[in-house]
Amino acid sequence: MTLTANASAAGEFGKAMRDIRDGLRLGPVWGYLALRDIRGRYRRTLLGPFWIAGGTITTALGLALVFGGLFGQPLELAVPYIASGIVAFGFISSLSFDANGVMINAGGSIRSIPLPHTFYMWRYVTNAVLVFAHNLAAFLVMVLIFTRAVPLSIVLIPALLLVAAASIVWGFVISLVSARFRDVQYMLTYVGLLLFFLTPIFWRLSDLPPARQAVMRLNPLLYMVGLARKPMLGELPTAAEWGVTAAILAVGLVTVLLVFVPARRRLVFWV
Amino acid sequence: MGVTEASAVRLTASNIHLDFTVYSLRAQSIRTAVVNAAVGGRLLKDRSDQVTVRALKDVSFELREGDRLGIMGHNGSGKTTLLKVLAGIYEPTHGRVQAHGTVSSLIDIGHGLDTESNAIDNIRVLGAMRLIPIRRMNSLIPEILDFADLGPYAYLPLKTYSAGMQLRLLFAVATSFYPDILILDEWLGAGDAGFVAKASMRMRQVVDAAKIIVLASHSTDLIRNNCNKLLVLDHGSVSYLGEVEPWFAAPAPAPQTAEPQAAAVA
Repeated sequence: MTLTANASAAGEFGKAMRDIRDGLRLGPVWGYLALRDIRGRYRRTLLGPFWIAGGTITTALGLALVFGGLFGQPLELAVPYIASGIVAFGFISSLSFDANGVMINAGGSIRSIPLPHTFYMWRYVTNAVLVFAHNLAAFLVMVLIFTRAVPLSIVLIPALLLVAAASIVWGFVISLVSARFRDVQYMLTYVGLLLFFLTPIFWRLSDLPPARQAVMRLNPLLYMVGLARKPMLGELPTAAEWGVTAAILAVGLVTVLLVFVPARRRLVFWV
Repeated sequence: MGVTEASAVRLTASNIHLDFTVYSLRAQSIRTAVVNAAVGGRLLKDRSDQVTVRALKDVSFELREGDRLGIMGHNGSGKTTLLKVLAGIYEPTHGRVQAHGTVSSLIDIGHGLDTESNAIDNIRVLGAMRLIPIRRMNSLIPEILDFADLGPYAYLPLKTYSAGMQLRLLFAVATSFYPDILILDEWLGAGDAGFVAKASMRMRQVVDAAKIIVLASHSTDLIRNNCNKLLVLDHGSVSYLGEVEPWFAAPAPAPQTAEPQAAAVA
């Protein structure tokens, strides 16, 4: 094993790339640690997996009862719509906004063990994906109970991959920026909450007056949630949903380079 | 990696400089960054909210197989910082560190303990975080448990352990990695009287097995007994580098004489 720490300005880009590559190579290690994190949540509980998905189930049922009623929708229509929205939004926000603490929380490790920074992001992402798997299972059970059918479309797989990639890229940026600027962490909690209400999760865009619809269309999460949710309901996402999510990913990739290349060396002093 | 290369363990530091910026809480906020940008980044920097620390200045040395380097210096002279640069945790601002061989640093080994899990689980995690292959770690578990002498507690969560038991477990894990290059911030010892002799024997084995040792310590005895080379740091610069005994024999130049043990020996 050869370890070289070479400080030359020209190599900063290469070193950022090496961090990413080394981080990926450590897959077995972060995979093992993330699995263990999830098992830790089950510990000493009778219904472990159920509690992980419990928030999704209760929120979906509560919102379906109230808003389904307000909008005059029967439960077998309201539950799949609202539950899919909550699962999709939860997936996106856990991989992006909620990643704000990844580097800060790993501070102790970053200051004592020479691991690539992306390692901590992957550990977190694996954890979030496993939580999503629980939520998706809970969604399927709920839909089965209320509609006696499971309308999943095969398009779900590419749709989720694209949504996940776009979210992870921004989540990594957020984890770095949050370590440097401590306001960001607090701010994101409220941004996430605001977006939960501004994104059509438990309401439909068509319920709004046309002028307001136009404003809501500026919210990028509208497209990402749509892309992740529609295949869960057996519908096909629109071209706009694919396109905007792909654009979010592309802009995110450029932003990662702009942020990570200069931040990589300094992160250890920020956390 | 060729077999021939693997046999030549080396650790080279060439002209290492390390500067870093310490942010106060104020400087770590967005408002300050915005104000800074608006006023050209001068105003608040001058108000010492943001302090640039020159932690290491032009440190160079070359260690070959068999070398044991002791690092001495006052608190804040850069000993731990230098160890962290050698371990790859900090990246030097200028200069380079090259290590041929597996490096393991016993800096803050206890970090990452999960008090809700048992000893076996914790051993696996501590090993995984240090990139010890899981299979090798599994094969080490019986020996670690045996040495830490936890008995049936090995299967109970760490929060039920006494302070001494936790310390013994950590020590046993920390001394089970056997790297080519071992980086030590102070000698590892552990706890209660009965364990001390056993611990120092095991520590001796690890140190003897390592091909290169870098040991930062305040103890002159420790360094005289274990090291063949000495590096003395003063405010981040090397004020002495060479054989151990000459430094203790000759009264050191002015800046180091404040080191109490050194003065006593001289």
